[in-house]
Amino acid sequence: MSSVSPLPTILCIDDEALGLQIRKAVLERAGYRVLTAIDGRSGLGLFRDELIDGVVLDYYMPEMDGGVVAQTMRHEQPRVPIMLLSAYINLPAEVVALADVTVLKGEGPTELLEKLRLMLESASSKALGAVR
Amino acid sequence: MKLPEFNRALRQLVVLPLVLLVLMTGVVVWQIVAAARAQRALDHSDQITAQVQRLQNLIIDQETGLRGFQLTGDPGMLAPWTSALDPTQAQFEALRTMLADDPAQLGALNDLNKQYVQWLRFAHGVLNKDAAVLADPQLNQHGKQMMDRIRATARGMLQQQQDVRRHEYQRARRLQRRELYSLLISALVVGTILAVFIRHHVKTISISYLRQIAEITRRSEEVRDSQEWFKTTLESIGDAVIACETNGAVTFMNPVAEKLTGWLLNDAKGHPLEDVFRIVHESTREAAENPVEKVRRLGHVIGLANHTLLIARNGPEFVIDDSAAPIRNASGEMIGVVLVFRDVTEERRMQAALVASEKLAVAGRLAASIAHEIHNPLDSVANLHFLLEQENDPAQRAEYLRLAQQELGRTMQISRTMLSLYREPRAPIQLNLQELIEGVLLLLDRRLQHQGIRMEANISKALMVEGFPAELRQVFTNLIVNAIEAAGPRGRIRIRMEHAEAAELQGTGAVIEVADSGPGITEDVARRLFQPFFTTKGANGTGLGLWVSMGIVQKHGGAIRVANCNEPEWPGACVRVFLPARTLAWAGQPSA
Repeated sequence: MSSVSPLPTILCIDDEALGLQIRKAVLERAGYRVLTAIDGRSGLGLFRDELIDGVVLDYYMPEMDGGVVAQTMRHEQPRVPIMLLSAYINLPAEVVALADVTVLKGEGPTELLEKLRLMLESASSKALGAVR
Repeated sequence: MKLPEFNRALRQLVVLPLVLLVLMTGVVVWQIVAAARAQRALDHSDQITAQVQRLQNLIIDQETGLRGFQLTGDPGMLAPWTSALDPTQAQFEALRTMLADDPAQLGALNDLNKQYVQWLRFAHGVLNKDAAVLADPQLNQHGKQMMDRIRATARGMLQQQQDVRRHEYQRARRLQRRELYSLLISALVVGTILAVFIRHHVKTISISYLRQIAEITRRSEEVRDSQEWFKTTLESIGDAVIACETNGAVTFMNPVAEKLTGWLLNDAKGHPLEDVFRIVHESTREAAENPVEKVRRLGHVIGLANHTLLIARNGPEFVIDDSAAPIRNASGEMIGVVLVFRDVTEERRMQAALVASEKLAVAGRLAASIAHEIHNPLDSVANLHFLLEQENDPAQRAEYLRLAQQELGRTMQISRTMLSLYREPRAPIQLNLQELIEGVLLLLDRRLQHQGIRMEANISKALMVEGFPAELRQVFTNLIVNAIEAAGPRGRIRIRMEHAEAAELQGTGAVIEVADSGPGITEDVARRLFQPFFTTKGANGTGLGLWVSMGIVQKHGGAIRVANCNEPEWPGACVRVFLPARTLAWAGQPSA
């Protein structure tokens, strides 16, 4: 575990401001520390400046879409798990391959939280394995 | 061979033989005349001989009379002497005339005359002497000598005349031979010339005749072939063809026309066209104008009215696309009318299917952005619901409920827009173009944002037009999506809308202009833009968008023009759509 904070820090990126705020509230309620960014560029800034345990990334965004953001993150810090959120069913395969988990918007908060928990656990166990 | 040549040949065939025969006759006549002259000379010679002989006989008769008188002294014995005296003198005169052209014989005659005169003198002497004198033998001897000289001269003359006759005879024979030869030769020459000449001319004429025959045969074969060719062509072409006289009586139908009209050519021949070719307007079912009448009135090719329905004799109906044209003879006079038409029922069905398929493609393209639009607020609502369940603070709960309400409102607006896309009234309705285009922009908003496109929409004027909202929405969706794709990421699109005053051939209405900052269109693309299946988007385009849009706009009585903007700020394409304030469009009308 690389984080200093007792709470796992989640970076949430979505161009939909209202949706982002509501998602932040849900994640905080579930016990995460949440950082938000309204576009890919500012999201990547936070990703570089902060210690991030997991990323919840919207795919469809203007200017820089989730695929490009995920690719940059993988390139810079490959171990940070990425959850890709999308309203589309047919995401490009190479984009899906970049993410640890893809979640369809509208699956509901329970599903989201469960998948996020599993993703983080899986990432931390991989990290432990790597340390050992 | 042309007619003048032929006439000249005929003239030559008459004139030349005539001339040759005249020449030949001339030669023959000349020969005959010459021969006759020779014969006359011969006769003349014979006459002279006879006359000389007669003269000689007369003189001998005188001598005989004289001798008898000498012997007997009987004056009765002198009868021959007396009777021959005058004839002898006349005979001399006659012979002198006859021998005028023969000096030698004339000289001999004169000698004879002289000798005769001497003898006469002697004879007179004898007559005047007495009988004793008369018996004198010397005297007799003298008389005998004189008479012998006369006889010798006469014989010489006869001999000479004999020579002349022989000469003349030979000449006559020669002339006869020459006459024969010249006749034969001239006949041969004339015959040969005529044979050669006639042979040449007859040969020329017969060659020319054979050529003419061959030419006529070839022409008639060509005519037959070309008739056959035209007939086969007309029978083989896929379009129906009916030909009729200017009075409308049917003269020809090809098999396709037979099939569509339900009439066989043999039955239809002579029938008025309106019996065989019954056409009505597709929707109103009013009888359409008789095309023969129209062609006769206008005198040129006409395309018949759109939406023409042909009712076959046996019942079936076909939507047809047709044209009629005058048939003119070489002098430009109208001798009939030909109708060409085609069953477009299937084509109409295909077009309708294509229109439907484009509608589906548009819906498909929109579905993705609609799903996204709806999923986002739904996701938020689900999240808010989750938070509400765990929240006890009433203020916080109220805030969550307000947010949920807001998100639901957004969802409903999108679903309403989506529904209106397919809810179509039966008749055109009054439409607020601003609302309509804003609705389209709302649905495309995500896409615009995603591409980072700056939209300059100057559509605040409240312009009303009549029309079918779903169809017009499809048109503007298509035009704006095209503009988005042309402009590319971070491009710009400008939408302007203005009132259009009535102009020639067009009433008042609205012009909507969509311009983009893309690369513009080439001339080649501009030419093919409105053709079905033409796309610049490769596998991502159906190639039906502009074609269907054009159909919709035309159905509304409007027009679409695509050109490059040619403004420094706007290098790309500029699509201008004119929509009339009032439309004559009706719901069942096909839009392409």
